[in-house]
Amino acid sequence: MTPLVLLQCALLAAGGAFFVIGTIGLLRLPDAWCRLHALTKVDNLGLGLIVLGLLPAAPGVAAGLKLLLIWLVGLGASATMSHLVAHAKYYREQPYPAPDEAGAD
Amino acid sequence: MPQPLLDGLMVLALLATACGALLSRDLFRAVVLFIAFGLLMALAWVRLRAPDLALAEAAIGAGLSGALLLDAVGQLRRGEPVAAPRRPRLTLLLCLALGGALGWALLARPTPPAVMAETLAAAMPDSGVSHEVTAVLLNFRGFDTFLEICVLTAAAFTSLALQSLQAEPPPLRHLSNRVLDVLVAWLAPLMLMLAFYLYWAGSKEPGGAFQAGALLAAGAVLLRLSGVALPGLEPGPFLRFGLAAGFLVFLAAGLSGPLAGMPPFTYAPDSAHLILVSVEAVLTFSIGLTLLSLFTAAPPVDKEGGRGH
Amino acid sequence: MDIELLYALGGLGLIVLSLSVLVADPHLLRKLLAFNVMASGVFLVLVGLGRAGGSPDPVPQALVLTGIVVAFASTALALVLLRRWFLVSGRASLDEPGDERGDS
Repeated sequence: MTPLVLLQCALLAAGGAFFVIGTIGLLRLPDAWCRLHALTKVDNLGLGLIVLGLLPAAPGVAAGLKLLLIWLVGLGASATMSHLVAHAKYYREQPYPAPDEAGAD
Repeated sequence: MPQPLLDGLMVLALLATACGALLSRDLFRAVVLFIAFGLLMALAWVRLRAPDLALAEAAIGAGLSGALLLDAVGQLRRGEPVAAPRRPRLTLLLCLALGGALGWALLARPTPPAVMAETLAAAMPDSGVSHEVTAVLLNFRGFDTFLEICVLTAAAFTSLALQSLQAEPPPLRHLSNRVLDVLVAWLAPLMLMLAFYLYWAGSKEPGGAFQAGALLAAGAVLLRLSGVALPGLEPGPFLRFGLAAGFLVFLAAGLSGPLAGMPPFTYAPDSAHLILVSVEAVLTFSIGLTLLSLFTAAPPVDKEGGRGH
Repeated sequence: MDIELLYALGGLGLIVLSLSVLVADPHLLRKLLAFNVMASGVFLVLVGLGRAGGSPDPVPQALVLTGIVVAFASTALALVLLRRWFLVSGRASLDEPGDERGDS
């Protein structure tokens, strides 16, 4: 068990812990806004730590870059989806804003 | 590489999400768990060393099916509640008995002889492609794939026929959102390029017409959901010809065999590559259009109107 | 036990679960979900029945690829019919409102 493998295990375990925390938040938090907030932990830190943990074992620079690309695409997708969910929920709960009072964006 | 802990957990996760999807009382939750089940199935295919199946399951089984089912749930949630399952315990008992019999048959199965593997390996150079699954799909068992195209085309035309019963065409329901527009502006060309790559790589690596067509359809669905009107989708000659093109081209390729004195759906080794690549190109487009039109054929919903700006 | 057999047994579990839901639950959308899960279970069994160990067997994989696409096409068509039925009748099941026998 070289130090590198230990470091990888620690990173993977931390990533997994963030997944668990985010999932508990998703299941137990009272409100959609809070649940969205919990999910960002999962996507940013959880996925990022797992990718970082897998990077030293990647079989080449190209594979490592692909791993980082996966993380970036995952970030972009989750950011957009969080925005869409929040947007839809906001406009479902607020009355439709009249043209002169522009809604906060 | 055997990983009993990983695979055992995967199987348990598959069973758990399936239970959640099928036994949950809330329809929305059931469909979301079904999408999760589809993604776990894609992982299972990776573990079973079937990357073509993983691609297809992720794109079709989890992606497109999930989108279709979510669309339906939005409409069905407003209905009257339906009765509880009848005689659940008796049914489960009978199914358990059936499962026990099947399990015993599965465990007692004889080791299949390796004859097919050798025959396949010997025939691969004549197939025109170097990826075995593509060779089996398009060349050795091309007739089965042709029938599959028939099923797809029949489903698309049936749903088009049902759609024509509606008085006016369904309105283009979409989300108007700047972030979505930017995302789609980035993603749509990427998905087009990836679909072309999957089609092209299908002759040497996992990929092929079905995965590429599914990705095309998914990209088009994304465009539609963000408000981009795709001009080819109203019922008309472009749509009809596009849907039928894959079927017709595949049929023509299959019937070219008898013209050269061979059985139908058999190709001469030197022209096989060219024929298969061209058939796959048309198939990719046609499958994409078919899957897309199956998605857009849903009857309209009388919602309160999408809010948002 | 090799990996294909493990997943095939998991597929059997999926078949048992989804077949009972398919038969017992009168809600049409749930029947459709059960049909899809059953299809996935059958695919797992199909691949599991192939040659175990050694290199992956491409013939069951091609068959299952066909199956995935056909299952999706059937689901899409079934959804169109289901939603049309719902528009016409207002219900998501084929039972008349008065004939539930909720025993056992």
